[in-house]
Amino acid sequence: MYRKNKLEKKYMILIVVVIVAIVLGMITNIVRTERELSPIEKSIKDTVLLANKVVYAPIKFVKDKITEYQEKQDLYEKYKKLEKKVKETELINAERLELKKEVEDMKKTLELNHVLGESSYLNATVVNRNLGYWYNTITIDKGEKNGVKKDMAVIVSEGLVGKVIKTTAFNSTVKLLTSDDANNKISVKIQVGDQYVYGLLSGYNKKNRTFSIEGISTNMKIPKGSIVTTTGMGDIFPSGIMIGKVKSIKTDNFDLAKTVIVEGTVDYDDLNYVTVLKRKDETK
Amino acid sequence: MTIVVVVLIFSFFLESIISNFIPLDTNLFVPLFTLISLIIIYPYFNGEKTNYLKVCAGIGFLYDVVFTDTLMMNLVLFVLLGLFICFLNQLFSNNVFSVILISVVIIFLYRVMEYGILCLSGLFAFHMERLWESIFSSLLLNLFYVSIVYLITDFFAKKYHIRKID
Repeated sequence: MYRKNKLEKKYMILIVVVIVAIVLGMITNIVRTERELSPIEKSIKDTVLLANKVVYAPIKFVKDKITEYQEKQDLYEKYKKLEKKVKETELINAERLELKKEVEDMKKTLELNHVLGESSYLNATVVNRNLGYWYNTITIDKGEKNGVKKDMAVIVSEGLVGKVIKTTAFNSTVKLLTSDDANNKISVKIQVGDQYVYGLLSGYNKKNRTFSIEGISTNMKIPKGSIVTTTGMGDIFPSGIMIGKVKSIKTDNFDLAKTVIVEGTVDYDDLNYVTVLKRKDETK
Repeated sequence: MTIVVVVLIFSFFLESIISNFIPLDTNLFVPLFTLISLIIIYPYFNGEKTNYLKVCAGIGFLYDVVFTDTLMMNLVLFVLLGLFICFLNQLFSNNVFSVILISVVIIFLYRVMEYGILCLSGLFAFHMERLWESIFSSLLLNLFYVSIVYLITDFFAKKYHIRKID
């Protein structure tokens, strides 16, 4: 009798362990960000977001008009600045052509996969932002029909916003660079004079609105204000997209490596329009 | 039933629209209107729990598909919280103060369960501070919303003699 009870207890423990393993497995699958949406999910999402877009249209119109009015306030100052910039454009254009040639040569030498100059741009409007609180995502109104694919980089004029993680026919979900997600690490480089220091952009501080780059050697002297851009390694983000500027440098507790604090250039609170970087080979 | 449909659709779309006006790093105004609308609509089911839970499941599924891209996580959470709303409504009478109190409990439970699942899956490392932050950031706007919508729906229910649990 005692032995039978002991055996039953063992079976019970085994069953509980199996159930816990299955539940954990299911939970992991439930929230997996790389999960491909099923055709039913895609069509429901597109339909509801279309309705959402229709409802939002008049509000957006008013919002845009208010922004337009605010921007018109200092129109003359902006005009003067632009006038100055236009004069510089020709010079920049000539430089650009020269640089493009240099990039082509260097790409062949370094065997780089993907650089910024090889991308074509697709503008999109943000439909909703960070619903679900934890995910730090935005939904944009361009999808597979517009050539958007998973893992494409999303930018604004100030710099990198994030990457596309899910697509439907007419919409896409973009994971922001500010996401807490443990998998959200990207390779970056800090420009120090003529040289680059490489590191991994690994965390976002919500309070200070800064990113941190870890694993920088203590031998390197990095001045404040140095520019941080993407490296182009890892096949997702093209090289040279602006992330931010160095704000401060901290040394870790063991004095082995530095942590660089970077102030982002993108205002994540003001994302109304973004640009998807489509690779040229994928636009053909 | 018209009130139920109107409140659900209105809350669902408003949550999406309002997200465009709220800073991403906000510590005060995180909308959870869809979840909160489940508290408002419960009395209009007049004790028909099965139908109420079906609605919870349906709106949870839509929330999953449209907003969070998760697989049935919100469906399960909305049904569980629907059951809890049924239980709490048996303890309290239906007035604006009890609705606010139930909303606080539901927001707390939703955030704890959601964060628990996300941490269990390994997506985030657990930080108690982050959890509290998520709860407090969701209170102000949603409690304001639930009070306003409750008063409006209650006004119409009285005006058009719509039957509901009081």
